[in-house]
Amino acid sequence: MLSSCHFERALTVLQKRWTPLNCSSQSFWNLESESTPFGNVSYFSMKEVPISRLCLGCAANSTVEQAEIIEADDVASTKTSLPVPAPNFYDFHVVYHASYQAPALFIKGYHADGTLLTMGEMLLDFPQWGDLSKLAACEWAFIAPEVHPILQQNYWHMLHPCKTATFMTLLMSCVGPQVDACRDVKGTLNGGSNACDNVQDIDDVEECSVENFKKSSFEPQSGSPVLLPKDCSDHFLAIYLEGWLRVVAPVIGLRIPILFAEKFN
Amino acid sequence: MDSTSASHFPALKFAPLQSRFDVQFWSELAERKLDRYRLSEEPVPLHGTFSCSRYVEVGSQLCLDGGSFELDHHCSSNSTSSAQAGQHLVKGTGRLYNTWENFRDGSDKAELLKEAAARVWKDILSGETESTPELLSQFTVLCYADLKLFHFNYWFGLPALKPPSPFLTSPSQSLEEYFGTDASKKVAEACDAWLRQSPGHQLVEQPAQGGESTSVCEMAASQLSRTDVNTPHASPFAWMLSYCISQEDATLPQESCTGLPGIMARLACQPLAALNQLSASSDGSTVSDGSTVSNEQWMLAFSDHSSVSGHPGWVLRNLLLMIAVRYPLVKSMKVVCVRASKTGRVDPSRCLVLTVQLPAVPDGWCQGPGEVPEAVGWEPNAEGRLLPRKVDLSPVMSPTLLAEQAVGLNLRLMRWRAAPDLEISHIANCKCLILGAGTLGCSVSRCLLAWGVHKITLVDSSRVSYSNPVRQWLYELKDCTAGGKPKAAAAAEALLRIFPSVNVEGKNISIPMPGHAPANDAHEQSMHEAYDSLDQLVSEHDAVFLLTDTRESRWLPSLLSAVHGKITITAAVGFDSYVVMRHGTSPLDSARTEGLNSTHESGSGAPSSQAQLRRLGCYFCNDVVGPVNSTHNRTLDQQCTVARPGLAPITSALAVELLAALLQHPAGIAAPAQGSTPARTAASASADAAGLQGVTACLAPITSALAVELLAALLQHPAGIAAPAQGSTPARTAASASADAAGLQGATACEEEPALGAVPHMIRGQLNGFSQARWRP
Repeated sequence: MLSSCHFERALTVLQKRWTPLNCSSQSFWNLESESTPFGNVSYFSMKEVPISRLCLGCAANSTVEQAEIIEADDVASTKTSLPVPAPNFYDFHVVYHASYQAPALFIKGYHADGTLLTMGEMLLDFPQWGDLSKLAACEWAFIAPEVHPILQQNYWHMLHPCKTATFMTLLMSCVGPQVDACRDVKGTLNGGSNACDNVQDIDDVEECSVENFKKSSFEPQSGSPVLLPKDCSDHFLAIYLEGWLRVVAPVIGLRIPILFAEKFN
Repeated sequence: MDSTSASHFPALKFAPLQSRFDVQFWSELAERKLDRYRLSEEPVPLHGTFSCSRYVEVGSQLCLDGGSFELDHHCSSNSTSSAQAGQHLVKGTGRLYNTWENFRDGSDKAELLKEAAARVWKDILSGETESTPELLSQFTVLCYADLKLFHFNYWFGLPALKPPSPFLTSPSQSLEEYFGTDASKKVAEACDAWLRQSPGHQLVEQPAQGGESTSVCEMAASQLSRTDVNTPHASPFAWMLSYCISQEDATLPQESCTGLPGIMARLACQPLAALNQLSASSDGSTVSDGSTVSNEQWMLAFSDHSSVSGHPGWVLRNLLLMIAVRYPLVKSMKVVCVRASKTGRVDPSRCLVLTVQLPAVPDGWCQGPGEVPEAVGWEPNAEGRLLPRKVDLSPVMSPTLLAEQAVGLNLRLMRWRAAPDLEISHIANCKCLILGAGTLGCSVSRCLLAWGVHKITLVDSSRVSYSNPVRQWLYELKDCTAGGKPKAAAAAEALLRIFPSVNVEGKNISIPMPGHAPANDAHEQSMHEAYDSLDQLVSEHDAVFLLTDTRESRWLPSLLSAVHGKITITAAVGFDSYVVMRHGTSPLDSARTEGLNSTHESGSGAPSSQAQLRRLGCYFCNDVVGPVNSTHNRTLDQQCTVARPGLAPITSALAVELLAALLQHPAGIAAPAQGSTPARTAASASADAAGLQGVTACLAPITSALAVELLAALLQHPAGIAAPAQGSTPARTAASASADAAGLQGATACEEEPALGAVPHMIRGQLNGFSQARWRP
């Protein structure tokens, strides 16, 4: 499990790594921060991602009580018509979820005019959501309305992070060298006086097998994820967050260019 | 281009700039209207942002969000995102009308647009738009916000001034076609740098040469910094692109060439004010006139929000008109419509190059006082008609709807893992009649709310008294004053406060009871009326809860619900014991019973035992005491319901969960009794009763009630906190571990819990008494 400090560090490290990769800030995860009563909180954001689909009637309705006005334009129809099936837009945020101590994906979908998409409309854009929540195998992939924890806006949807810590433990256990790197750092820890004291042995990470992972859905004790040590390396954190992004990206139809990984691994 | 061919050019058409109002815009507006503007209809300054088009499928939009109201520091914390590089600031005004009528016909829409146009026109004539190009796109928003329904009616207008005659254009080319691959890349990079410039960034890419250029640079720098004061992160949406055609005998030093192969050098982006420079240097000859060999070439560049091939965006209209009006010597203009690729970088293959023939503007055209060119630009609605748009934000702003969604979501979440087969709708659609709005009635109705039940009717004939609020969870002290409110009505009001979407009614009916003979004719008449309305109520509901304080008051409702074949659940508490049971189907309901025979085969198969299974008794069949007046000849403590306070929540929760279990059973009311057989078989039968692990939802009151009773028991124990654990017999260790200390056998509830998985007939339980004898070993 990640602490919020881990998460913030992971964001900055990834952002630094991606910047030189000639990717415009608008088209990829972008580091943003918001001041809250608890200080500045950072998150990744990707804005206005269009998902082209047939628009089944926009939410904005005309008000029939009023007579249409007529504008005499100078030249017959200077206005070219816009493409009719306007795509829907999505904002994605990667936010730290304090309860689950894991990253969480927040989703906001809207029409071109800014009106929000309903869950039904979003399901048309992402048919995989419906399938995922039915598949027992993907029991982590639930999407539900949720208040944005940083912006305090109630119209976001969240990919539920209830299983995130568990599958990340499993995922990171496959990243042998990185875990070693993490353990090396931990070896230098000499009993700090902070909350990380009750960290379980990092070896648990490696013991977490597929069987444990499966079992863990029934017995929360057995394969329960451990909190990462406070001093684990930047590299490890970057791999953690990037790995997480890779796991969740298909849910929203995104793909992280392979070059991001190749450059550093 | 000579004038003869120009006449064959088609008129240039523009793609409108669509508006996008973020939800946050409306919630900010609602807040400001309530707290700040109140009745004021004064225009409100607004701003929005747009960027160049990034997608082939859709043009980019003018976005207004929560930060749109903050003009002074719009780049403060929460809108750092909205003012990121590549975005352009556009200013405008909002008019918030107080009434729908005012919004609809309070003012002439054409007149309003003209007002907005007049502001643009004034800035064009004063030359202000050249230093601050965003003044060319001042928009106007009309709005009527219905803050009770959370409906927002609005109309967005971006005025375009009509030129004296249309702009004509040559067929468009892409930037790539126009300059060739390599050179166009350089141009795109230069544009990218312009779009992404940060405050204080050196604007002109290349050091200026010669006195004249230096002055341009200085001017550029000074004007940019001036713009920067207002718009720290947004670069102007329009700018000038200059380059030189290099010749063999070019006097320019090689180094100053930006590496372009041969044709282009000294490529630079300059602020729009460089137009000035253009008319001076070209000295009357049009820059783009091919016949004039001019070393320095100028192009107008702007961030194009349109994605339509061949058609530039709406914001170009006023820009072109401004040039036509302010620089009449410029007859035609090369325009680069800067568009980007998905990555956000300027894409030479998407950028358009147009040669626009500017119309001749007569001297003094529209320059008299009060004269303004005609303007168009109201945004059509979603159906393409010139009408306002309407946004319904009640789903995200109305507390009632938010609660409804959240409650529904919570219930649906049970199906994810805990009980995938749970049919929430069976429970939510069950119309429940609650007879008795006392301790049990209050608890039961709250539990029903938690299950999403939408229709609840409460019946009671008494008033709220001072001892009620602490035990009866729907009442408050203020309900007791002035003789006390009628309980049924007060409970209904409270339920509405808790969950406004519930359809709840409180009926003040005194249930006729055996043993309570009518005192006189009027009383008898009222008993008949009570009977009629009770009969009506039972027939209208699906489930009846018998929760009155006396045994005999349950008699008539038991009969009525048997007659109407309704699910009936009885719950009653003693001092430390309780019973929860359901009545079986009535003897009249044979058809239902017959149907049951085929679906549910009992183990023995003997007809007699089957019949016994089917025919579950009612409250009175299972009791040896006949219904008599139980309030007669009783002491005060016998008359009042004296019960351990934690008992009623336990009992009520079990009653509701029993209903929930029953409604999940395919046979409904005719479900055979389970749980009277050995406990474990009953639990395994829960598969049949559709995954009732979900019942844990309403077990929270039980758990918390047990916790309170545990404390009560502990405080009664002579040893207090040091009380030895009791009740931890091997069978129930896990359950009793919670009830560890002090004689509270958590097993009261736990004993029956497995049975809840099925649909038992009766659940009885008892909390251990506070007997001193128990505490001695």
